[in-house]
Amino acid sequence: MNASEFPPAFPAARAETADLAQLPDLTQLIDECSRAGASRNALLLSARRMPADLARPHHLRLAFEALLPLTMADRARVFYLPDGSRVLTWRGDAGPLLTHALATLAHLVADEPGIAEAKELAQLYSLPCDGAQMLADIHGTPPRPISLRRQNGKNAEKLDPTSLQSLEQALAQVNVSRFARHRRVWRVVQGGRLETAWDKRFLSVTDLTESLLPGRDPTADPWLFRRLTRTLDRRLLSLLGAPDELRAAGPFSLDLNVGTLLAPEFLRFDAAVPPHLRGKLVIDLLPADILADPAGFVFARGFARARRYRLMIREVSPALCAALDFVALDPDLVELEYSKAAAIPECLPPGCELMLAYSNHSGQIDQQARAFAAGGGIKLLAPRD
Amino acid sequence: MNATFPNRATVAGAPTGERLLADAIRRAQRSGNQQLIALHLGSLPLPRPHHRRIARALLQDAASRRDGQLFPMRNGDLALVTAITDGGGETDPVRLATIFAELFKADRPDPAGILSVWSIEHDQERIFEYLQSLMGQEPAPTLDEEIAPPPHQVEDIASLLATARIGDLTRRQTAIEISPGPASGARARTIRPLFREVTFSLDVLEARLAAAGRASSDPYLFRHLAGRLDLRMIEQVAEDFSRETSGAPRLHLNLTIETLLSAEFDRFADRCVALGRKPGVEVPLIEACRDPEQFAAARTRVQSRGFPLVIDGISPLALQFANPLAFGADLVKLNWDSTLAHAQPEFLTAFKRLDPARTVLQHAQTEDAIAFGLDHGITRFQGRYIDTMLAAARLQSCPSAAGCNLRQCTERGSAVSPATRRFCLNLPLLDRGLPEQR
Repeated sequence: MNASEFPPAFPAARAETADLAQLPDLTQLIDECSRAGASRNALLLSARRMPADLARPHHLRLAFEALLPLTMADRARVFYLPDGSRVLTWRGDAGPLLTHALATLAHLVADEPGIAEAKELAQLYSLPCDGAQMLADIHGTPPRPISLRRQNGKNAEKLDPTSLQSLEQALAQVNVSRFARHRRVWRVVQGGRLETAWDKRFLSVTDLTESLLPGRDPTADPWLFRRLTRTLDRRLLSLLGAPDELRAAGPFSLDLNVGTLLAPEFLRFDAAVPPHLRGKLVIDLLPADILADPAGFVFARGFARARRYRLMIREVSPALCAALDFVALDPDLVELEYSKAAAIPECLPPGCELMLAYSNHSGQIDQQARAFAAGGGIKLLAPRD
Repeated sequence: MNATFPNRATVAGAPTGERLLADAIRRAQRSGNQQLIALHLGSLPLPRPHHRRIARALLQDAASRRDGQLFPMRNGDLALVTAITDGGGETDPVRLATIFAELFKADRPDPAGILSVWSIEHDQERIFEYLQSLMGQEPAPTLDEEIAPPPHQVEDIASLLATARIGDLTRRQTAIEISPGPASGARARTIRPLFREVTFSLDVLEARLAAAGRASSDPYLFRHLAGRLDLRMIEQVAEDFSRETSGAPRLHLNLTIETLLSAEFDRFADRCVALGRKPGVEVPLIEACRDPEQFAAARTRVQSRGFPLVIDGISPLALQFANPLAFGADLVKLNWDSTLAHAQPEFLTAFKRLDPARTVLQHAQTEDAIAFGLDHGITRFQGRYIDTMLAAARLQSCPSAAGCNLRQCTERGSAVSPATRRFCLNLPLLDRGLPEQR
């Protein structure tokens, strides 16, 4: 997919195309500034300065999106660092753009305990003279501990049927748009560069439970959680099916249950999908869900094909990879879970594409996963928390 | 066929949909170049609510694009009258036939037969026959939406379990192995009880609750419930060990992965080993697929005690999508269903993955299941047909069977409750399952 064909949802289109290795480029920029006597301003959004549980990709993305106005500044560049941090550089005085960006970031973290000011997260430097300090900060800042609020969450009670019912009832009444998140799926293109392939859209279960049913861990009981996902599916579809919601949207994927694809809510969503998105939306299905109703899956697969959705089998671990018959399942995409035991499926249906999902917590895993993807000819990457 | 086909006499007394369709056909005849596309949903062996919903949406879409009209028939069929297209497009019969054949691939033995396309100008005789056939058909059953029951229903069942006598709520079923006897030929086969599976009877549970909806209709709520039933199941099996007469086949029980990884399972397993028992443990395929890594850990715990591990609940269609032997189980249980009597090539290819010597054909309700299994090298069976077969063999040789009939002996054989078993005057034979073969 060509990134220029589908503009991203927010304005900084050039920020969405990034090199795989950004740190050397940043070092090179500092050197060039020094040699040429040019000056640049830089802002470091440090993942290490975020509390550990607030340094997940979606948190960092939200924080980064607050800074996007800065990409409109003269000669603005964005550098993606392996630990999830970002550096923005620009020439001259960004004036109101910088003020606006920092104000938005301050607003975003205003309620977070342990963060006194936004500037704790976003530090400013003048290049080349502060270059060495910036590089030292990138490498040397110790990670923050998990915040107290989230520590309490770790001791949360399991979801039980009664609390699940309360949660389902609450979900029916609230506006879930504040829990809507998206996570980027990247495609490796020529020269090792990454382009946005599509956005994965989902509702944040953690944030949603914290807000609607604090003190409960929704994932502790795996089967009640699967049941909850059905309700979440419906709410997400109704959100996306709202008038004009998809008019300017780019390609995206949704994690859905097989039963959801056959439900009235999906038909309403399907009716709202504009022509430019036909053939570009991906529906992700879980193997266990498929095997719970294989006949339903076959029907849903036929329907999805008729309406030009692409189907992905998701969260395929190495053990599952050996057990599933992908030719019979006949998906358009298979999402492999990266681990040291990861393997490429022996047989795939014609035209089926592989995607590699991996944890982006550590730069080392990031590099190993990308090396595995490169070795296996996998072009789609889905880093996540 | 005359020019006013189908005449009003054809549809006299017909339901509204059929009459409207006949009117539309007459109008289409006058305008020419029209076709009738009939989707035979009324012929589906197991109709589900989404069949009609999705098919209707697709046909309605085709109708709206080509100024067509869609008519629901009383038997469940959908009929679309629309212009004949030149090829391609939403109402292209070839495209629609391909779409619907793909949709109903798993629901009909001949998915291509789900759709008929007739030219209103040239296929009048066939259309007439179709309309005539609609007249005599029963109305389609009203399908309840597959609305998942409220989660709280699980709590009701769990509360009931806390106070109920567990034996009243459990059932047992014996699996057998058929092997050739000393002489060759089908009549010389010998039958040996292999194991006896103990399960909760959800039908009994839900009937007692008289609740709207069924917890077992939601696979996820059902798995959660199964986890909560595990501890009672373990208690039941431990009780069975102390009560059973000698010579009874090995017990099998269904447990969740979470239970297998718990301290309760360790205590239960220690107790079994101390008593010299090695019960089998059955885990459904969807549990293994949900978390294969946890399943592998559970498998190691089970097999290290010398207990056989069984992957349960493999439908013929699921077998096409997953290879259960890849999970390292000792046995796998393939569900029999009547479509296997005319198995499709896709199934037969998938079937080759199984090792017949490690496969149990379960839900064997008819003799066809036994014939299919034996033809394909499977010698282990479980199901209602087997229950009846065993009861018939017991009645033949039991000296105390004078007042018993086949149904009673079958019921007592599957009962755990003393209330049902007490009518049997030969409990050792009932627990062995089958008289000793000489």
